[in-house]
Amino acid sequence: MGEAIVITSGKGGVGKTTTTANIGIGLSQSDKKVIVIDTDLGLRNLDVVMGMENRIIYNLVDVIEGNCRLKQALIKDKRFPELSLLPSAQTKDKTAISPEQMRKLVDELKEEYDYILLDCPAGIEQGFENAIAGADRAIVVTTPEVSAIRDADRIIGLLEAHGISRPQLIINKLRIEMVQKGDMMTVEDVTEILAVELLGVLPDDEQVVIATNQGEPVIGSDSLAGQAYQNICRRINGESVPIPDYTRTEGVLARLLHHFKSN
Amino acid sequence: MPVFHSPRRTSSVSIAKERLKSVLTSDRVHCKPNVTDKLESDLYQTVTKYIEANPNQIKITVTRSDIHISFTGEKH
Repeated sequence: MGEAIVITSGKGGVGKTTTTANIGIGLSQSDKKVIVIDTDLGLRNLDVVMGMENRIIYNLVDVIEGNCRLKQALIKDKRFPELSLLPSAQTKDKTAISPEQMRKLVDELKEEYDYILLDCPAGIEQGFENAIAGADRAIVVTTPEVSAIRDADRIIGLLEAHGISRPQLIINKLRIEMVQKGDMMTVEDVTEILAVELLGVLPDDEQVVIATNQGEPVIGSDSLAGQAYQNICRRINGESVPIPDYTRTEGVLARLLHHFKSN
Repeated sequence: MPVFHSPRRTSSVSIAKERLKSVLTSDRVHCKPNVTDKLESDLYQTVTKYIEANPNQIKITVTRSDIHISFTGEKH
């Protein structure tokens, strides 16, 4: 019996889709069967982020409306054999499906997959309700900005109201130098305000943009973001992996000691 | 890293945190930001009507679903 995890944020542009894609890929590499579902009807994106946009035949709405069998709509990732994508519909809107239908679909998928990752649309309307309907737990993505944190707080409240308590938090696009200068909120500032468990921190990394341009994952590369996503996947799998303090400024002596220790 | 780093008077981060705390409190109880200040002050007045206390002993916090009033009986 698999577990359904919704990746949500309230605000748009904080990195839900990139996070869904990379966590999906990471989890599938640890011998788990994973399906990622794009629930953003009308604004299909997960397929392009994953580089699978040319392979779509059927979509989520086709499955729900019975235009095709579930298996026909699933796209297997050629690079990662344990990973499948259920794409969204580009020409429908959020009213094309109901939370009840989503719950039924997710329950069916749980029979076969270890992880069902639901990429939630921005906003708190029906698209959000649809995305969280079948979820057992939630990952809230935010950035260290006032607007994103405010929306994340709202989302956490709504998740709790829908019976998804104790969501976990990913802080994305942390700009290390700005934090060091005191110009950006720290990880501690954000977790203190939102008061939820921290699942991971992603330093702002050009490699994410470069990888997404090409429809490639950033996980698996030795970039900061790639390693951070890897750690997040290990934590989801139950491993205890410490969250590195990206903003600690090491003195020359400490850096030298570290250098000798690691050699 | 500059050795003689002079701390700024008010960093943008501390302004952000203050603004967030105020806006989140009002989001959580669905009212305007200044209403929560008034609410806290009224609650303080009410409590001190019956209990002899000073502001250091009473802490009022509004969370997502609860209003907490903590009172430490010990005098400072």
